[in-house]
Amino acid sequence: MCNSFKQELMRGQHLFGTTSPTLVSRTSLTAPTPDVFRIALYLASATVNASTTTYSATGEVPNSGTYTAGGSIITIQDPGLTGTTAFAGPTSASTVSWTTFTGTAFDCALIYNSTQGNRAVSVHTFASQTITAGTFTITFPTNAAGTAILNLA
Amino acid sequence: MDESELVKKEYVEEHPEHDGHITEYWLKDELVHRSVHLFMKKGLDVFGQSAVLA
Repeated sequence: MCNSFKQELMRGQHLFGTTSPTLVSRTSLTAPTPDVFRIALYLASATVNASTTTYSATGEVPNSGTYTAGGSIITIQDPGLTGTTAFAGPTSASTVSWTTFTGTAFDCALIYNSTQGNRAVSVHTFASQTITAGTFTITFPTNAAGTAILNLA
Repeated sequence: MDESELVKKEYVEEHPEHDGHITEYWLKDELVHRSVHLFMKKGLDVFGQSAVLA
């Protein structure tokens, strides 16, 4: 498989099939507006995994402080390609945080495309966390092949 | 609340894929504040795999 194809997939430059998918307009075909992505938090009791297809409020942490249903917007940088690995993610060491927040036993973050029908992108689990009237901050990993949020190897 | 009675605790929970920096404030035996800063070391999914195209 061509390595450039992996990067181009992330840029939406290929459209397979004989039927047209339903897409929310990106305004221009020659200079399309990138989609908006969000990150939402889920309880340890929720079922969120590779079979998840869209964002759902079921199992999401309750609204608290600056956390509201649907989570927060994150900016995904232009996909890169190093060797045989295409990758995409937020800027290295960038953060997303929620303040005056109380949440109990949550262990999962869903990244989804809020422009294109809340379609699920990826699920990221971590050790179960409890926040008490405090701040929950996620610092994203280095945005490079092998460490980025999303890798196509 | 007498803030002079608050006890601050800070510690790190290490994990192969992320570290959690924890800050807690205790008033006697009651936890009144807990913040977590999660440092992700690499992208992962629930099955611990990167997407792979055959």
